[in-house]
Amino acid sequence: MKKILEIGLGVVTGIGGFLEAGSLATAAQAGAEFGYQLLWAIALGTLCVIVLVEMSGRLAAVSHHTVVDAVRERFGIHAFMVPLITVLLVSLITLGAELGGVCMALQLATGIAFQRWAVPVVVVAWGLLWRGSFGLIEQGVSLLGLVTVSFLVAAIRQHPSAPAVAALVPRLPDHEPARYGFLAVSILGASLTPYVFYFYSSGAIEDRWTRGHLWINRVVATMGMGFGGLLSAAVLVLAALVFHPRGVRVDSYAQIGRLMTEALGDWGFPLFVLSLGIACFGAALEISLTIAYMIAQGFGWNWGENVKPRDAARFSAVYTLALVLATALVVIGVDPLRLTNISMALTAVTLPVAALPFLVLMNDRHYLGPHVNGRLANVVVVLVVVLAAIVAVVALPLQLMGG
Amino acid sequence: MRLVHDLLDIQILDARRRRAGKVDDILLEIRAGRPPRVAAIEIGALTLARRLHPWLGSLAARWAQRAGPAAPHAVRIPWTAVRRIERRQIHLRIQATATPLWSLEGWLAKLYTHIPGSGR
Repeated sequence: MKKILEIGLGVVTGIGGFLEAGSLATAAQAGAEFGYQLLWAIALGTLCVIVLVEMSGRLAAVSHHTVVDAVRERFGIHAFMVPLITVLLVSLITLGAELGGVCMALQLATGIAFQRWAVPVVVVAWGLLWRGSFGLIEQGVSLLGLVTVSFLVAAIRQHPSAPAVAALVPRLPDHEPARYGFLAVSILGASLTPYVFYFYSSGAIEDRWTRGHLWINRVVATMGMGFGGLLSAAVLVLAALVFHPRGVRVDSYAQIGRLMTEALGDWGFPLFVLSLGIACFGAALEISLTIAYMIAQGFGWNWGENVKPRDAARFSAVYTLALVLATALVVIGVDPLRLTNISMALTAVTLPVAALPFLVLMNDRHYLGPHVNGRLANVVVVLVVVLAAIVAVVALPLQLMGG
Repeated sequence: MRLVHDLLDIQILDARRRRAGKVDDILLEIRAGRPPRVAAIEIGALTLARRLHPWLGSLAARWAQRAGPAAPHAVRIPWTAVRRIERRQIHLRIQATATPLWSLEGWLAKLYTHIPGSGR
């Protein structure tokens, strides 16, 4: 019974926590500009994130190491600094994008400019991290995050046609190949942000997972991330049905706001604002914690969201500092959607640096004994990660040159 | 035991299971006519900086001279203070709070007593 509850909670956490600024914005842009054509990128990204999240839970349950602990131990300090610094920088920008998303939701709700919301939002976020336990943050935010299921409801009410399923097979675009590639890697970046699996492995340690959790881990990763990916797909389908026929290009969050009004009427806009705000707020909390986890675990400091701030003093100082730095990006008025697009593309470029050492580790019997990776998991991760990085390196300059 | 593989960069826990840093470096004692042995482990940002690059090490050392709790340090824990190694973690006999390992942590914790909720 307790295990079933644990699975239920885990799956809900995955679904409620899946959508954030990056996945929402990239899916909406892709649907608006290319119809159903980029659905395959969401499917591929979701498949790969299921594999990565399952891996990080398995590592924690079997070796009692977080990904960060194990990477430093296995590869030494020199090799460890490269993913550490890269992921930290990208995570900070992503944190800015998520905070910007929350502020944008508040602007859409109140009409008061988003920059002005930055400080109040960050104070509330910091207060929750300072006073809340890991369970409160993870589950509380995810339960609220279930409001994002409204995208799925709206998409179903729009009666998507059969070509949607056909778009699960990757194909070349019929126009603007650079933009198509850019959006494809942004979608992959949004699905595969490293903070997700770093966060998950830290959570497994906080919840004291053992080998007995291995099958729970498998179910939670597959169903939580799988259904989460379905929400991203729903956003893309909605944008394909609502924006694409009218030739609307998504340049701001305010435009994405009309995503559900056709299907849900008067409820559409408030539900969108609520979804955007909660999804981004949840992600902001998780990214702040992940930044603190990474530094504290990397240098061996006391860490844990279940520990009082004064007993993990440097850990709490790191998330405080991260929130301050990321807020600065919002306060100076960088457009939140722009920030989101930049951070997702950067995530895609830096994916190999974060994911490949982790993959080597997952094949090391010193850590995993008989629970090392199967061949399929290795192939999926290498293929998707390397593909995303190559396309990103090619598409990013083209996109920037083309404006 | 393979020093680099099994000792370097692993987690250190103190007598009360507080996480007290990673093994940032290992000090060997060379003995005449006998095999060398581990004399101490070294922990701290100063050690880490030196290991990353000599240039970074001297930069950090210069900064460390300007005292303060945030200054990087290099703390040597004698091997006699190690109780056991288990599951790739070092368990110490001593409490980290009694060593300079805890200087920044302790300073911050004291600062936090002025902020409500720090002890939840």
